Amino acid sequence: MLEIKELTVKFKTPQGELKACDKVSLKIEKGKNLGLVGESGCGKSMTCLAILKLLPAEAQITWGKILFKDENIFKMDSKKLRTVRGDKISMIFQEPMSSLNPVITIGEQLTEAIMTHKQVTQSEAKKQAIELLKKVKIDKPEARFYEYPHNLSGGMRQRVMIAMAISLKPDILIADEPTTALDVTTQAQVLELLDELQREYNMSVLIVSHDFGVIARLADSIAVMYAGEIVEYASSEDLFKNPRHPYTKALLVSLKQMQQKKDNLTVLKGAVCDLTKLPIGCRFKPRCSEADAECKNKITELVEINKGHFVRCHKCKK
Amino acid sequence: MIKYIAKRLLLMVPMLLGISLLTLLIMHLSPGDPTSLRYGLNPEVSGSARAQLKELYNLDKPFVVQYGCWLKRVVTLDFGRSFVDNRPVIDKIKERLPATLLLQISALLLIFSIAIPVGVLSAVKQNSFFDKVTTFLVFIGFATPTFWLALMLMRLFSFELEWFPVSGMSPWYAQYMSLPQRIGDILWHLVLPLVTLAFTGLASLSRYVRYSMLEVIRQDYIRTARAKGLAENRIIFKHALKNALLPVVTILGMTLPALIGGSFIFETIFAWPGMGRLGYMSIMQYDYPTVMGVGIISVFLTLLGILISDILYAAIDPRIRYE
Repeated sequence: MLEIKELTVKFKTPQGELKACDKVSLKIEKGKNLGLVGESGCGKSMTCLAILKLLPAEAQITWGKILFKDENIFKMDSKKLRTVRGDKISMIFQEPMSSLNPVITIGEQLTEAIMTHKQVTQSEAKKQAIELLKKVKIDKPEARFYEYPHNLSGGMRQRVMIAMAISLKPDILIADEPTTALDVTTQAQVLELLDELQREYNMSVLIVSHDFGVIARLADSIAVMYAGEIVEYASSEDLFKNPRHPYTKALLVSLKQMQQKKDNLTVLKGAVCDLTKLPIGCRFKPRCSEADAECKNKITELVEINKGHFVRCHKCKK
Repeated sequence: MIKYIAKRLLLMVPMLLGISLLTLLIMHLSPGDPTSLRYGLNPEVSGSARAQLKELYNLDKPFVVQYGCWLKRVVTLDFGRSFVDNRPVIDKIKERLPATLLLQISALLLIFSIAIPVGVLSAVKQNSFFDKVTTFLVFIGFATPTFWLALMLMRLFSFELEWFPVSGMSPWYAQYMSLPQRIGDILWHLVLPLVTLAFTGLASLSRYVRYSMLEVIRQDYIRTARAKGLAENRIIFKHALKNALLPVVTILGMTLPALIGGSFIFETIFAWPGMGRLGYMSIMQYDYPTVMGVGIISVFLTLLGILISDILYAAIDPRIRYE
């Protein structure tokens, strides 16, 4: 349904050009959830924002296309794009505290989303909005309707964001780190809510996180990103059982150690490479335990090593 | 809400007391007194006549007693009589206040109705040709001294082109005009002072709006509004502008005292019969009661302006509550 093809996003910075996404290709199928995982600054958010053409002004899409129902989003005019935004594809963000407009009531922010895309009366939109607030389990929805975001806690605001995002029963919901800013109990509740809604509406959720635990809850397939590139892409089952890329393996090892409550986690040495000065060879090489001389100079491609299991590492053979 | 306003009005009392005390003190600290101006240089007036006059005006009493006397009268809203022409101060102010209010309020309306759209547009189209031109004009506006601009406008539009009158508000023959004619005449006299006053105010306010708007359109909730598929107009005028105007309302409160204070020089240049000119003349003539009266009314209006801007602020920002 949604196909990202070789998406390349560049930023102009004083240090030179920065490649935030480098030929990222992903596919989201109807009713299936895709997880996108990777550490901060690896290009996850930029990929999400590109889908709705919401990239910051400094970012440039230099290559690639995004097809939604076989139509290139980048080629749509602003009017057409607006019919996709919020209606067909909607999005929730990392920061529930700043993602709602502080001077507009919850109710108005909800009804305006509905009324932008549907020909309904004010009172009908209000009825739907209150229904939605009930659906995302906000207590006293009739009263909350007239309140402002500052009256709500972070978790509640994220629920309002979710209510807004599902208000038009979209085909795809992009959830960019939806639980990162929330405390642990609220995190679990929000994930559960997303899970329920996904089933009920049969939407596809693109869930983005740096936390494998969050991804594992929802995703049918998972893409692992590193330094702007997809390094591994497989079904969840496959990826957890049989991770191939050294980076994925390292991430899963620390996840397991955390679940076993070990005091000392294995730490991945070093930091993500400078995105303005990318090496020719494998970008993970400086931190990789399995690297050899070949990794430094050989361009690594994303290769299908098993059916539906792609890895960007020349040491992983079929 | 009513309780809040009442509290704020009560808080004005100590402020007014302090400012009136300072005003009288400063007047007394300046060399000379009302009698010296009238009789000091006249050899025919004897010392006893001066002393009589001082006694009449209570000027022989200690400063604190003088202030006390003034205060006692003011509480009953009696501002006394002018030393110069013996008319009640309140009458003199009543004559002058409408002229000042007309000029200041129309300048304020003009400034806001131009600065907000200009600021918004140059923020939305940042670095465009329009933005660059307005930025250039704004710097000129900042740098231009009001009195100089006033004189230049007078020279060009009054002397050379003869489009507008040089100064004043209504000429002596205005009393023979019909009402619409008189209103037209006042507006015609208003043009130059208004343009001068608005020009400098416009510069800073449009800059504030632009800055504030740029700040807001980078916020997450604007991205959310875009993600909802809202039209760009609604995003700018509903979601962004409402937030961007919050700091501007505070500036509104800060502009009022500046406008009233600034009118001292301004009204004198344009011979505008307002409060500023009255205050200026009274100071030159050591007319203590009038100076005090003008001072108190100006301070009261200034404080009222700040209160109004605070109320407005609470009206548009739900996070602010009257406590």
